[in-house]
Amino acid sequence: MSIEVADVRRILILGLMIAWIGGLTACSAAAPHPAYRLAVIASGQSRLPKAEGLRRGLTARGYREGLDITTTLYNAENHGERLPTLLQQAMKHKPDVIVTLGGIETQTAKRMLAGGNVPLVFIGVADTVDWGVVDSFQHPGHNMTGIDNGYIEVTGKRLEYLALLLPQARRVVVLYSSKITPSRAALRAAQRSATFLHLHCLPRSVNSVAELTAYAASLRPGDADAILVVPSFILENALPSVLLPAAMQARIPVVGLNHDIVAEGAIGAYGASFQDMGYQGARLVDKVLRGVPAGNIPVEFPDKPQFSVNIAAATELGITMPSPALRLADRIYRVLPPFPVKRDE
Amino acid sequence: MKAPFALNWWKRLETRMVLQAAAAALLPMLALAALASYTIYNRQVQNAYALQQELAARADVIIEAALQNDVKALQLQANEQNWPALSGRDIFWQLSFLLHSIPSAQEIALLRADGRETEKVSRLQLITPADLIDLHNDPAFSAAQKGQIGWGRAYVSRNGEPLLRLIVPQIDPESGRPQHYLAAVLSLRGLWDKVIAFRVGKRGKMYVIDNRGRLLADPDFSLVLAETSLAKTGLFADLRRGKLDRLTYTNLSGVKVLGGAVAIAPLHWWVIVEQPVAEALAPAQRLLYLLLFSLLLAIIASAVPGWHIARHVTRPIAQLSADAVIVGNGDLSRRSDIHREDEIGQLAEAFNQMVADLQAYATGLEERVAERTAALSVALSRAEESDRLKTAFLATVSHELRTPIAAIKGFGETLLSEDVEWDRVTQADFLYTIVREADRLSDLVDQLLDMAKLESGTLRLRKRVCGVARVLREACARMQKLTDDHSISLEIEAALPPTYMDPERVMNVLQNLIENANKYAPAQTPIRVAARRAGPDILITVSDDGPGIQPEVLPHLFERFYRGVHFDVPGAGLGLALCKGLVEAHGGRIWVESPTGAQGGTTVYFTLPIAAEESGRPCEA
Repeated sequence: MSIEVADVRRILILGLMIAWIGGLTACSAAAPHPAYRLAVIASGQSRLPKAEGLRRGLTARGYREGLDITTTLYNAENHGERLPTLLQQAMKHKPDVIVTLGGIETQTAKRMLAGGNVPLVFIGVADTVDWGVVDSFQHPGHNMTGIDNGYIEVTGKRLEYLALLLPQARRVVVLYSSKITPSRAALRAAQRSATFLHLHCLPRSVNSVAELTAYAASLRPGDADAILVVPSFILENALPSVLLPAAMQARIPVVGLNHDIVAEGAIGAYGASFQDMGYQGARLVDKVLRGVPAGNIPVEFPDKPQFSVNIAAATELGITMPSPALRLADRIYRVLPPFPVKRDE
Repeated sequence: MKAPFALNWWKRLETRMVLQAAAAALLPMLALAALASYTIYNRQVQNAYALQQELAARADVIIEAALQNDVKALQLQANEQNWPALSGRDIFWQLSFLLHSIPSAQEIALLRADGRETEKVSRLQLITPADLIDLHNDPAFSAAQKGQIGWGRAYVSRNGEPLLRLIVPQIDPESGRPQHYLAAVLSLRGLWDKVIAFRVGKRGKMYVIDNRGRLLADPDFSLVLAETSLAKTGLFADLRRGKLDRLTYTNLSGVKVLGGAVAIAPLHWWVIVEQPVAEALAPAQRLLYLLLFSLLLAIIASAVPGWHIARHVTRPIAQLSADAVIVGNGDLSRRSDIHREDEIGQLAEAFNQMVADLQAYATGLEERVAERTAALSVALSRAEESDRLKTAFLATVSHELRTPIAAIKGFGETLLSEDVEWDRVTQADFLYTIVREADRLSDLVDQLLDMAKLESGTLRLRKRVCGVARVLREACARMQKLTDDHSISLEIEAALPPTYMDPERVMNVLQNLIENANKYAPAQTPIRVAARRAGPDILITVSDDGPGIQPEVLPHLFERFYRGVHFDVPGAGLGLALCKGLVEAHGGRIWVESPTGAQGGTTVYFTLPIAAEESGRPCEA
């Protein structure tokens, strides 16, 4: 087959046009960065407000889902043993960042990602230094950073708010999990602070839902003036459905970690909400995606812990909260949800 | 003809045309590209500086506004309350309310006049008496003591929180001096996040340094934690001198950057925006690449038609060159098959015409050469024949000369012999023979001399105007005396005009012709001599009834030394040649007619021109 001169000319002209268009494209615009892949690891439904806050935070920072970022949620549905498998699945998709939504997810991920180059951002983990999650707040290391929920650090402040809401309270049950390090740390902090607040701490450990259920069933009016809940993922998931109805029935006010539990019936709480921590976590994810080594980004505490109160719950318990204390509230709930509340089952 | 000499590629017309076309496109575009690049570069630099300055100004506004809000809130509260009159519980509530109203505040404390904290609330912790500190050594407190806003030094807390202490004095209206102070520890993280959230390209950034060059805010907070200082950099020197815009420096990463800064007045900080030069000028660079790419394409785009045009021109030239080589190698039938209606077409047509002419010329030349060759061949044949005739002549002359000489010698020796007594009659006969042979020898020598004179042109005729009749009669008479075998008749037309001739030479001609007739005609046959007028000439004929002459001999009869086939007949072969020379010397012609076969006979014709009447020359009867 012979090639005619006219064919050569046509091919040449076509080649020139293609080269021209290609050159124009190459010179006039840089190739867009492909969407970042984000793997979000959650141990259960109770963590999902953090994921929602993360989504809102990323959106506020200009990340468009599907275009600039692709987020995949791996939810263990309250089965902590599934977390390693979920993490393996997540790693197969070569995520740019792994986001963990709690302490147990973070510890599992830290073990599995050790030595790897995938950065980790945790959201809402308590006592991250003493628990060994990070080396220090300023230099977390381990290619990871995140939001320490500050629940341990604000334990004293939380107890102070309890005292402000319940000036007559003296005996306060501190509900914690003895098998969980941050929970024990919170107990110690509460005990230290109680002295200055003229309160008597009554530590009560529950390490399972069954123990919590048994404790709730044993509650009687007058057992305590108040119950202070400290961080424990066991308690977080079961409090609304197990403890709050029993405490209400025993007419014992409960002060919790954040406004989520206040909405469920606790009279007060002090701490950052899960959504706010998720929203704040988006800032760290953004930094990591912009190339800052995660291990160099200081661990952050919640921008602003919120003081929440539930007037309806207090009224139900026959308690009148001091007006100055109410003035300090960031959120005030005036309704009481019907008990019992079913969650995460 | 050899093939055309080889050309290096750079000397080829095609290459030159392509280069010229490319250069024609290149030069103006180069100028355009240079101008555009210069303009774009300058514009881009200006834009980058303007953008950085604007971003820095916006950051400054944000920072100052946020801090001023906090200051106003503190000032308001500080001067609104009668702090000395409040109980400790009330102070706690007031400070708590104040903390609640200032989102960035982490702690708020009430200071005594000596700088000691008396009451403090914190957002994170329960404050115990052990947490109350003395700030009288704090620079911020020193400023506050002077009634000013006391800005402390920014620092980072144990848990990585960027903080700034701020002390606001409560002025006693009466003394005008500070009585109490409100000290707040503000978290700068939210502020810094707003500031560093300004994205300056992909590698640019915004950061804040204080009046000592210490880094306060940076996208990479580890630099802040490491207490990075820019105090010894050229940038800091520029800032201290008040040069805030159009900054060009090498940053901490060793990257050359363009920068702009704005001073945060109350704090003596600077917010700085920088962007790597390479990135800031990337659009200009891309445009430059685009220009260069376009330039390259333009060169190619101009070179391609240039190449096409060059090919359009040079290909037929090369083809013509090849055709010329073929023609040069001898193929004159070669023609160019280029048919175009342009100069190249004209050239091809001219080439074809030239080759056609060359072919025609060559063909004519060949014909002429053939003709000349044939002529030379004939000449050669003639030369060879002449040579042969000369050889034969020499033999004949030798023979003809020897014969009478031998006869003369023989008869002379015989007569001189003493052994024999010869009678008178015999002696006379012998002497007669000697004389006759001497005459014959003399005639032969005369003929040879005449022939030589004729050929050399030195024969001088003594021509005069006279009639031919007397010459004819005398010739016939002389010859009749010499022969008994033939009767010689003479027939002369009446009133023949005179001719202009040498009578002796005409006589020689007639005698030669009659002698030939006498030789070759059989005995007892007549020999006829006649003369008549033929146009402007007198035609004289000598005919016999001999066997005739063969046609192939006729053309050679008048050649010198030609003897035909009658070698037995005495003669040197000069008679007819001499006749021809003499007749032609008189301006006449001579030819022979000799029918072959039964008819036979030979007639020799020759003409003499009639004398002009007005010549006036004497005429003999």
